Amino acid sequence: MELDFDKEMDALLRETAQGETASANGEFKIENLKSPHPDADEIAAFAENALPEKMKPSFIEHFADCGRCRRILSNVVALNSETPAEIVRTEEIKRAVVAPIPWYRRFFAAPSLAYAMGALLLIFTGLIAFTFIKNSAPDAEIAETREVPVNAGGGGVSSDGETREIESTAPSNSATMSNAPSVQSNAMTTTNSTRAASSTNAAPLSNAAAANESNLNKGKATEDKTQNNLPIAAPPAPQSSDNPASGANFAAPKSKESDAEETRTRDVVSNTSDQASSNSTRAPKPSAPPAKSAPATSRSAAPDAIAKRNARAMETQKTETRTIGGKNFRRDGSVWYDAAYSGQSTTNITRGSKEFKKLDANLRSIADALSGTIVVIWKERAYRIQ
Amino acid sequence: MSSAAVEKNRSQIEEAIARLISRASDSRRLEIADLRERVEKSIEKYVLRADENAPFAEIKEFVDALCADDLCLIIACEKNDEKAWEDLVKNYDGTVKSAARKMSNNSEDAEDLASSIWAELYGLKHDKDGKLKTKLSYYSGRGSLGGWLRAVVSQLAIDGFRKESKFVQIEEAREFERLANDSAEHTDNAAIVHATANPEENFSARQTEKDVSDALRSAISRLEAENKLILKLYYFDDLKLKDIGAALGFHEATASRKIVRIQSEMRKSVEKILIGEHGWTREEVKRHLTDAASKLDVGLEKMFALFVVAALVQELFGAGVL
Repeated sequence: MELDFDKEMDALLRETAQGETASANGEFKIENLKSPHPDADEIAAFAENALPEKMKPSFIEHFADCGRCRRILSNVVALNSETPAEIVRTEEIKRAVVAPIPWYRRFFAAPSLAYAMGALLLIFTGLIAFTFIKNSAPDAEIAETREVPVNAGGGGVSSDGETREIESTAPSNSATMSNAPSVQSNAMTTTNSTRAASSTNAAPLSNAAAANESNLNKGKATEDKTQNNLPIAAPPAPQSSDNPASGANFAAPKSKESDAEETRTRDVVSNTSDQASSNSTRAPKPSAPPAKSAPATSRSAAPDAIAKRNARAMETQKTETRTIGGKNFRRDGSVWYDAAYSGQSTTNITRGSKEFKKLDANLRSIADALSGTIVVIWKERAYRIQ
Repeated sequence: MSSAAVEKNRSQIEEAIARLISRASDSRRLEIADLRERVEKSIEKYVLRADENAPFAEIKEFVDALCADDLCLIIACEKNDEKAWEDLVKNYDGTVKSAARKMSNNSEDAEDLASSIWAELYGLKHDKDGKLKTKLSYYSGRGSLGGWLRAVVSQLAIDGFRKESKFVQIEEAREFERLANDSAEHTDNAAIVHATANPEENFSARQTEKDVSDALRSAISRLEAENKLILKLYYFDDLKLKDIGAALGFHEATASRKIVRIQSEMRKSVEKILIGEHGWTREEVKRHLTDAASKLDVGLEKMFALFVVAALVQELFGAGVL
C-alpha cells in the first residue's frame, strides 16, 4: 500500500531497524518497565484485540518498552494473520452473545420454515383438488337446481311462461313431440316403466302421481328458485312449436303470470295424454285426487312408485328439456338443441352482435330465455346462437 | 481466593457460567462447578485487576465473551478426559507444528519445539495436591485456544533463542578478535588492516552516525506508548499495517495515518535533538537525511544490479559459454 509519508525518515528508520535487528541483544533490550511481563494468555488476548479496554493502556506501554514481549506479540499477530478463522470465530461469539435472535426470526429458521412450507403445500394441494372436484360436476349441480318435477300423468307447469317438458308425458303426444325425437327417446327410457303402467293400468299413473307429491314439491321449489332468474317467455302455441308467433307472447311480463299459467295449463293438457292431463293443473297438490279408476291399487304400488320416482329423478338430472316459444329444447352438455334440429349446418351468431340484432324478435327472445349456446331451427334455417 | 466482588455476585456468575456451558457446541458433560474456579480467576485477572469495583454488567459481558468450546475442551483435558485430549491433539497439533516451524531455523528444531510444547501442555510435574502441573491451567478462554498456543510456542522459542543467542554472541566476538589479531600479525594483510587512508573522515563519519543513532533512539523514547509500539511493530518487526490495526483495534487506514504522523513527529524530534544537543546546523541535518535516503536508494540499485549480473552469469553457465 502506497503511503504518503516522509521517505527520508522512513529510510532512516529502516536503516536503524536493520541495525537493531542484526543485534539480538539490542532487539530484546528491556527498558524501564512498570508492569510485569504478560503471560501467553494475555499476549494472545491482546493480539486478538480481546482484552478489556481498561487493561489495554498498561499492556501497550509494556509492549512499547519490552522488546521480548513485543517480539512474541508480533509473532502471534503474524501467525494469526495466516489463520484468521479462529479470530473470526471469536468475533462471531461476541456478536452472537450481543444479538440474540428475535422470536419472529426464529420462525424462519431452517427446520421451522421447512415444516411450514410443507404444511402450506399440503393445504394448497387440498384446496386445488377440492376446487377441481367441485367444478368437474357442474351438470349434476345445474340439473339438480333445475330439476324437472317428474309426473307420470302430466306436465309440471311453471308460472314463468315456459313449459318444462315432462319426459314421461312426451311420448304420449306424438303430435307435439314430433320434433323432439331425442326427447322422446330420453323420455322413453325414463318413462317406460310409467308408460307401461299407465297404458295398461291407470293405477300406476295415479300412484306415481301420488308418489310424486314430494317430487313435485321439490321440483316446484327448485323451479321457484329459477323462476326469478329466467327471462319470461310466452307460452308456446298449443299445436305447433314451429310457429311460436301464433299467440305466443315472448315478452310476457310477470304481471301476466296468471294468464300465462292458464295458457300453459291448456298447452300442457294438449300435449299430454289423457292420464297426464288429469294431473296437469298448476297445483299438483299433494292432495291431488288420484284417478278414479285406480284407487284400490294406489296403496299397494306405493313402494314401486317411490322407486320409480327416484329413478326418474336421477334421469331428470341427466337430461334436461325445456319448451320455449313452442319449441322444445334439449340440453346436451352446455348446448340447448332444438328438437327439430337434425344435424344440418348452422349459422353461427353471437349474442349482442349486429347479426343477432337483425334476427327475428321472437328468435331473440328464445335466445335470451336460454343461457349458453342454443341450436334452434327458425324458419327452416338452423342457427347456433352463443 | 475469590475477591469480594466475585463473592458478592456468585449466583449471577454461576448463571453466566450456565449460559457459557449452553453456548458450547460440546460442553463435554462439564458442570458449573467444573468451570467456576477458572472463570472466577479470569474475572479477577482481566476485570477486577483494572477496577476492583467493576459493575456486574461488565463481569457478565466478560463471561459471555469467553470462548466456550475452547474453555470446555481445556478444562476437560485437565480432568483427564481422554476424548478431550484426542480432540485437542487432533485439532491443534497442526497449529503447534506450524508455529514451531515459523519460529525455528530448521525442521529438526521445529519438531523439538513442538514436542516441548506438548510436554508442557500435558504436564510432567505434580503440584502439592498431586495434580499435574500443566500449562493448560493458564488458559483463561478470553482469546482463542489457537492464538494462545501460538503465543506459548513463540514465547518458548524466543526465550530459548535468547539463551542461545547470548552463547553465540560470545563465540562470534572471540572469533572476530582472533581474525583481527591474525590480520595484524601477517604483514601481507597490513594494507587490509589499514585500508582507510583518512582517519579523520572515518572518525567524522562514525561520529555522525552515532549522533543520528542517538537522536533517533531519543526521539523514539519520547513518543507516546501507542505510537512507539506502532513504530516498532512496523519498522522493527516488519508487521503489516493491517495486522497492526487488527491487534490494536483500528482500521488499516487509521494505522497508515498514524504512521505518517509518527514520522512527522520523529523528524521534528530528530532535528531538534541534532541541532540542540549535538550542535548540527539545519543544512547539515537536511543533507544527512537526504544522504540517508539516497544511500538506501543506492543500496537498492546496487542490489538490483548485482541480481542482474548474477542472473546473466547463470544463463551463460547454462548455455555453456562460460
